[in-house]
Amino acid sequence: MGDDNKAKDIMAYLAPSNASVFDHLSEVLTNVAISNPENPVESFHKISREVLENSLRWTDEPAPVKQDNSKQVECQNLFRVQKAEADPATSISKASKVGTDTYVPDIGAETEMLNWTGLSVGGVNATRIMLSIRQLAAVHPEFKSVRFFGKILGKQADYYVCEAEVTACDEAPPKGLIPKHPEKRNFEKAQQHNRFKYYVCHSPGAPWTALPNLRYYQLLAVPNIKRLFTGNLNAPMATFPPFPGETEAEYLRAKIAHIGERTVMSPAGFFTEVPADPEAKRKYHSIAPSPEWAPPEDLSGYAAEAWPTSAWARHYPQVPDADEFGEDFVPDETGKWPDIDPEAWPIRPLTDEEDGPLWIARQCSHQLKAKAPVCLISRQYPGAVVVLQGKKFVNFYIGFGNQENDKMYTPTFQENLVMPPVCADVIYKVHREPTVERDADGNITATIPPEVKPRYPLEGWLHFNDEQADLRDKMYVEWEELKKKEAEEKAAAEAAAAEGA
Amino acid sequence: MDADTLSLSSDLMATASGYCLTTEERACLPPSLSILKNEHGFARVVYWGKIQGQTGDYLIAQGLGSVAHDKREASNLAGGDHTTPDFFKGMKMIPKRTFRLGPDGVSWTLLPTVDEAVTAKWLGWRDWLKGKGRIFTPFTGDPAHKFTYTPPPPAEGGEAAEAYVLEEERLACVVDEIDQACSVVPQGAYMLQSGQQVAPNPYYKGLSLQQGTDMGSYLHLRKPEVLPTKPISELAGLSKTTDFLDRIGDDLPKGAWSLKHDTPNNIIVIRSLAFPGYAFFSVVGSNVFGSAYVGTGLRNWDLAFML
Repeated sequence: MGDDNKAKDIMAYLAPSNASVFDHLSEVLTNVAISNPENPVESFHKISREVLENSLRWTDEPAPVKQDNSKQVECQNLFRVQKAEADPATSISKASKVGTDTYVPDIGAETEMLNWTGLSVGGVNATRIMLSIRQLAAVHPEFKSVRFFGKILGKQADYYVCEAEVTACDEAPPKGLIPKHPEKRNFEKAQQHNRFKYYVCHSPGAPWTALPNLRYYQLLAVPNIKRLFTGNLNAPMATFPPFPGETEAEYLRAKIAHIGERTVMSPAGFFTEVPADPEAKRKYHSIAPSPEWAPPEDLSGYAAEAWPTSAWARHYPQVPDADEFGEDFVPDETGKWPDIDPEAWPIRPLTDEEDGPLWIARQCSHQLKAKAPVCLISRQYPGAVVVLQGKKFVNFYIGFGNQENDKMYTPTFQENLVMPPVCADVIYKVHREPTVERDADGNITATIPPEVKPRYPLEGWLHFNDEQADLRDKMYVEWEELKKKEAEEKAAAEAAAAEGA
Repeated sequence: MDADTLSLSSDLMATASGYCLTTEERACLPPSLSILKNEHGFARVVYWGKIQGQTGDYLIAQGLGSVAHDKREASNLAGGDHTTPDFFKGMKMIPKRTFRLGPDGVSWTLLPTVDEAVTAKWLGWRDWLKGKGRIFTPFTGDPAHKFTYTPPPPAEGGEAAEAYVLEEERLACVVDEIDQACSVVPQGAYMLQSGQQVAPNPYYKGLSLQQGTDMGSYLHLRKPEVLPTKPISELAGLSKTTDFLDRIGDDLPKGAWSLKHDTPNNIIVIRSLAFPGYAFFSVVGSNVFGSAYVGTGLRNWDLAFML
């Protein structure tokens, strides 16, 4: 009996569908008889499989769906060779458009350096991104330089981020406000950050979208927020702690500024500060590459432990300190406000005590120590890396955008945030006209505000204080009643005594 | 990533997760892995990934199955169905052994097996660390480093002795933890052979674009944990030959896996949000797929707040 069941089980196992095993076996045997293969026993399973696939339609092939080729077409268009325009009369081809002044780095070579660290988009993708960024630079001649910042990963789509350096922020501060108004300062304090404009796209070849400019309070709020990007720039941004911005595009811009401020660095001494100079028409502080910097000649002497963190310096605009306007910040007699200093842009060398544990210093090869690049991999921002080889260095970020520390994440609150209105009462207020009484001449005598009836009757409702009466209040009330009773009794007794008397 | 196609898939891995093999690793690993395969007689050797430490990284490889075993017939009971309680208990996974790259950069050292004693030590250290308010310390890079901790005093009273867990043991536990939680394979790539033995499917042809963009086509290659707990009504509807492994869509919290189709490269990329650094890629329409983990081993405990 057991053996019988076992045989049946095996038959059932071998053909879960409803087709008869007997039929299938007979087809296979016919196939073997006809085709006469060499080793039918060893390749029995192959023959059986072929028979199954040929005869039984046991998988329904879904109708082939017309695929959306737009992303592949965009990528392909990056590589399209432009036909030179020919003058119709003489058929001499004109020179192509004048090249732009925008400096586009050699992203392919940078990626080769990054391949040594293990953190890169790969050579193939780098070629596509380089072409895409060059197209972006060709359309925007106002950029001084562009840089491939990196890739921010999201849940549904990724962002390739390109950083463009512009001469000045393209937005004007809000007008009509006094100079120390928080809205105005919110705008102006981020002026160094808004010298960088960021463009994102979802895949190489896709059109680039500009991210909005940064505001100061967004920069303050963003280190405490830990959230994954969805990949849609218009997704609403509702987080705790609250973020003073409404869309994911603003959050992305703030997060990029935060990552840049913490991880974008250069060898110490590469950049020098250029202070603001009103005579030389330099309204703002800035930085510039220093002519005296010389790269270390031979890196073989630097073991990973010996390459100190203090050999690097952060050169991205910093988070400005909060404003402190004293009592004397008032307009003078003519109504002119005192000048506010432009935001500083210091170069901040790393220190071993503070920054040492946050970075892993590595020489990228065990064997070729003299020529191998030296890199710093961030522990705090997994995915941030800076690599130096000879005279060139590259900053790169590829990751989810969040910081790690060794503790559980605890959201903390940020004070002094300027929040956009979120309460629906502000947006959806219904305005009722007040009743205006006029006398014979048409002058207004009285204005009666509109009476808004409550939506539900108020009788029989206990108000808060009555329900939640304090024990002391309760006792006071009881005391009062007791007193009243005594007074009444006294009055009654006196009246009785008066009558009696 | 399969060792045989390692240098080809490294670029695909870079597209998927942003972590690629360094130029030096790409040159040195393929011959090293094939030596490992021949010495031990594995059916397949897989580059599992990299655990980053302070002064050095650990490259991890896994050897799967054994050539000798595949040739033998496993003749035990076949059949049984999802609804039989023995079905999942009797399922045999592919045996695997985990190695790390030794300090000389070319030879592989076997990691300690993760048994009860080792797991107990590791969990004891982790609980002690949580008591200190931290959830993680990085690996140091020295396999003989001892992470010391004081376990809670035993119930009978008396003092608790100082205990330690070796970095190597901690490494083995972390690799095992990530393996259990991740290990994504496409549906159809593995099949159940007659001896309830999970084996790679030689006829796997790859997933079409429609199947590939559906989260339900991806399974965990591990002893099923979620499927046996499902109600019988649901299990009876599944097909035993294709649905015997856990689906990644059943993992909690919902949304812990992110799937996208990278169109220019025509690959499906699946990233784990609970273990950031783990990525799986599969070429659409072809049977090439692979996965790797590159990271510090830190798990994203805050995932539920971040989604």
